[in-house]
Amino acid sequence: MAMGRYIGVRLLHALVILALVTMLVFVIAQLIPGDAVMAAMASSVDMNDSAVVARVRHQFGLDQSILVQFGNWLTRYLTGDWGTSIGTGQKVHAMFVQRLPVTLELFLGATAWSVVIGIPAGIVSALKRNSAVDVVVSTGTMIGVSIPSFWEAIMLIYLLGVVFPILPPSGYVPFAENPLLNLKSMVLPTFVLGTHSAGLLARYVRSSLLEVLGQDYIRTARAKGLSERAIITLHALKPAMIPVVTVIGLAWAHMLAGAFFVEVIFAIPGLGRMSVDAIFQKDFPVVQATLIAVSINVLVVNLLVDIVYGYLDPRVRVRQ
Amino acid sequence: MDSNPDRREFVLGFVAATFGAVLAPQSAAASGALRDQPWAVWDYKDKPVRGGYFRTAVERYIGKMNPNHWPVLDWISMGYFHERLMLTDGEYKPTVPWLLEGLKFEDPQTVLMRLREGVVFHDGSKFDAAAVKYQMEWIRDPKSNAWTAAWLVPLVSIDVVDERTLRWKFNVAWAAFAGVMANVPGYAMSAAALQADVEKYDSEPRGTGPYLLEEASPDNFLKLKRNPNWWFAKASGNPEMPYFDGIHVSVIPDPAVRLANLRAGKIDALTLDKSQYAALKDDPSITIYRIPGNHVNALRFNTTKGVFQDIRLRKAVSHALDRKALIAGTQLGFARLASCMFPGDHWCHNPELAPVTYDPALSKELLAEAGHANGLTVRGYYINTTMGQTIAEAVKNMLAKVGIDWQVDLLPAAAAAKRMQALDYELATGGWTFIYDPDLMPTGLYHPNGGFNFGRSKNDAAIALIEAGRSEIDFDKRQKIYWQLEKVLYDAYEDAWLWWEETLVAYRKNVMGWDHENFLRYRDAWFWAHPLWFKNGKA
Amino acid sequence: MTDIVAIVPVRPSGASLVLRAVLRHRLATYGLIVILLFCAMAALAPWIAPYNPYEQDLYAVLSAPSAAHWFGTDNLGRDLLSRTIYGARVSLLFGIGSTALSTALGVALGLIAGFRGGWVDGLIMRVTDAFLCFPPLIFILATSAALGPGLHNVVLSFTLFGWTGFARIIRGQVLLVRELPYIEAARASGLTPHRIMLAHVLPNTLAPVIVAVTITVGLAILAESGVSFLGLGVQPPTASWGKELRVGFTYLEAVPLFSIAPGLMITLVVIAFNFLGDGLRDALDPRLKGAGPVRK
Repeated sequence: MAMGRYIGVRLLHALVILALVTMLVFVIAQLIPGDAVMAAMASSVDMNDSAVVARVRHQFGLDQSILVQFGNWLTRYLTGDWGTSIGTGQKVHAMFVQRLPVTLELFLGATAWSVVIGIPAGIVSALKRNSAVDVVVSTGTMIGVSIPSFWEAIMLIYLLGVVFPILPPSGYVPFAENPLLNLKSMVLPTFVLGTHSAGLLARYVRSSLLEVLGQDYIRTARAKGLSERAIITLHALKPAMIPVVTVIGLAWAHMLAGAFFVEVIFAIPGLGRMSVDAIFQKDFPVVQATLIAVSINVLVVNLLVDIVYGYLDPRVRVRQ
Repeated sequence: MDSNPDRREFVLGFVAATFGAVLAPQSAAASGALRDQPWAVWDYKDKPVRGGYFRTAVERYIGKMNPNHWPVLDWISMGYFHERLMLTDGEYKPTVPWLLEGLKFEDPQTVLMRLREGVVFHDGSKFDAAAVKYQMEWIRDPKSNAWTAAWLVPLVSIDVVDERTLRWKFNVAWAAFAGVMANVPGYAMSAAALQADVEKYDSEPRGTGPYLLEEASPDNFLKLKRNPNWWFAKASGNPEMPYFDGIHVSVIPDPAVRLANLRAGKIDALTLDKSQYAALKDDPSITIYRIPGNHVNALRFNTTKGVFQDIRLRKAVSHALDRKALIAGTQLGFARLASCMFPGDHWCHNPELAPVTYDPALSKELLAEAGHANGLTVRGYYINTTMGQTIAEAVKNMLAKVGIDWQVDLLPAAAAAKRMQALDYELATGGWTFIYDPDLMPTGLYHPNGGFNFGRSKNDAAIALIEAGRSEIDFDKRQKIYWQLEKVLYDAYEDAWLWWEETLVAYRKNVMGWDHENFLRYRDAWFWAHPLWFKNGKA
Repeated sequence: MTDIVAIVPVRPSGASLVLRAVLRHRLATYGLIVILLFCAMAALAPWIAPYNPYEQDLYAVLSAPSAAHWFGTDNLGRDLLSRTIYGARVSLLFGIGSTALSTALGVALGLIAGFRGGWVDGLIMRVTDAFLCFPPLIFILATSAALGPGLHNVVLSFTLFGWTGFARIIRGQVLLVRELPYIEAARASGLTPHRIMLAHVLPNTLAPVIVAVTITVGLAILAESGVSFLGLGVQPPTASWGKELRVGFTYLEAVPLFSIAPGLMITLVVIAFNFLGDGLRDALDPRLKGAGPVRK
């Protein structure tokens, strides 16, 4: 199938999914008990006038039916007005624009760490299978996967922020304002987020490489007398990376959940924190806006992964 | 218009405390002069030095910076750039005129208010009668969406008498007026700024306070810089105040990370989590102060629906709770046993009431008497924060020991609010924070119109007293009304009050100027009149 | 010609064969033993634990390890050692249970998607996309409201959102494998697609799945940690490693073991599962025997 048509179809599907998921979330979230206004008020100063509560509810349109609320929200969203957050009182669009670059930087840094640590670790442990090196590397990557991120975070904060104070313990400074401080502040958060996927990646690379090395054409190449190094670099690595692409894509798609913990511990004002807080407060404008962003992220990444997959291994190009 | 020749400060004096709180009897201030106030003493051993950015950390970002809009999530930072007309004293009584020179009741429905001179807003506009009138009318205007409008309901009109004098007229005898001026509506906002752009005010406030807003980064930090024209510096004869060049408030959600920042020297002061005290108390570079708070922690009964309509069962629950153990276990000893709703150092606290005794045997007896010898099952909810879960588990365990099974659901704030509104509980989270004027909490919790009642409590004697307390202008008489109110609620076991809060604040040793004894004695007034400084002028 | 003979996949002819292959693999054996030990600990908890894990002592909260309490006490004065032992029950049950469910669902759907291709593949993949977009937290909160809070919500949510990973991975593998000559041969020889899928395709795509399963067990236990902390999973006073891990984190300085003990348990279980997984994969995948120089 022509690539252009393929992408077109996928984008159409993406729009449908987006619409469905958005509506579904809106409806399901109604099941969550609670009153957004009462909750937010209860957390600031105590109130003793239900008339004011009613007035604020009206201001946010919470006294209308679900259908009306959704309709209003949708029309406004499509015209660029993403509404006002019930929990913080800021404009959702502004909140989003402030936090998106922060979370993006976090994701990119984490992916970089995971690739830089994970892939070499996986290769080494595959090539030295069952040796002491393999055990050490495997155990190391497994610890990376199983250690809770908030734990790893606080350990690193104490080690590199308090005891040997070379990095800031927490906080975020925009890159434009102070590039050096921004990078220094992001070292630990991206590392913590990245070690998790690094562990996963290493396991998959190891497994995948071992599989490939067991293939017949590898044996043929060996029989022909090619050096081990040539075999690995020329014939084994590329096919071995195929499932790796999937894993990186999946890790990116799921990263927001892990990002939440990292953002909370390191006091980084990102989308993860914003979306979780919003969900608990039933802060619909924020929840919906984040949902759409996350969905677009997931759908685009999955599309890219499928395309790259097809490129890497022509045998799996999607066919009708 | 002729200014009232009677420029004397009106004595809003108060009764000397007779219970063991840290109060000293105070005589009436003889004049409006700041320097005659008992807390207006600045004889420091080491002279204050200018300089440095004071860094602190909070759990949540301030949110909106117009105090009458909502949400506002950080009132301490709010106080750096907005100041109130009136402050409260060591008993939380609104008797310390701050931006005011004084106020006096001409009759129960009329107040004459005199403003202090020489106060300027951050945008240069004058703090005068016209500005105050504009602000109050702005609050009352429904278009302003000020949640504080409810607190100004008795207001009929405000008349400008002269540049610094206002006459307020109410439609009832408004005893809580001074208290309201010491609370959120009393934060002076620049009328000029409000008029120019109300929406912008939420993120660009113009108050009269010692610091101006320099930079605000939502969910990240708040940066404030020194106000060189702070009125109090001149009026008190301390022109170098405030001493810090600015304040940097970082938003750090996790308490362990806040502590790490303190340890790493990245912040200078911090409100501690109580469990952090043990690790920090022997740190030579840090001093920790224990500060009584005006919050009460309690369990609320649904007295109009369900089993707790029977007072014997309410008694059973209350006596089954070992409050001392609860404080030792959940607050690590940092809380004060509560007898009733007003904290022990609040002027409306009834000193004759003693905390409910721990008597599980009595509880079992009462249960049997009420027909539940084989145990009782009650439903309810509690807030699902870490501390909330701990308290709920401890209480559940205690109640189980006398045969009461409290089926408590741990809920986030939104869900808890819903349950409260629906009266869908028998025993749940209770209590109140920021207890200032004595009318707010009782109304909220026990009056039919109360915003947190929704009909779960209907004690007629209490309701009558609440309404009486609203219109009793005389402080002594008003105090007696609230003492009686506490007794009525106490005798009825209307709620199970557990403890009054305490907070722990840690300061690095190079932060100078804190006098704990005088702070406890004069509270708010002392706090805002005594800015701190860095030794040698740097962090 | 030797190729065709060589590529006929060797099906394990019996569980005992697999077991023996696994046991030959040293690390896998260790893994298996550790897992069995933990399971035993969970099962025998009432007899091994020194205290009742629900007994509070408000005057002895957050105390350091002592002769009376080897691991110290938690924020309500309960014995940490006992709670760690009992915690194994919930965590292992949840970790293994929900992983098994997600695997089953994900493998089934991924297999069908990859093998059938066409619109079936497209539909299933779009469904996985949709599930990936949906915020699990909302689902958990909503089910919690509808069905009441508890572990079943977390199991449901984890399964519903965890199967997507398996599906995509297996589908990828299936796309590779189904082009292989012997699958064509099997088709040509008249075997039903059903049988081809289960008997020939599935065993050869299992390798990455096994890796995924072993990692997912650990992820499941950790996911339970995040959720229980919010009051949505395991309800107090039940102990689970995940819950203790998160609650103990607040008191890291006061009583480090509060958080470290369950954390260590989780890590050990994950490592054990991973080694076991390696052994299983080696035992099931004969082609690995030819994977070049094995030892340095």
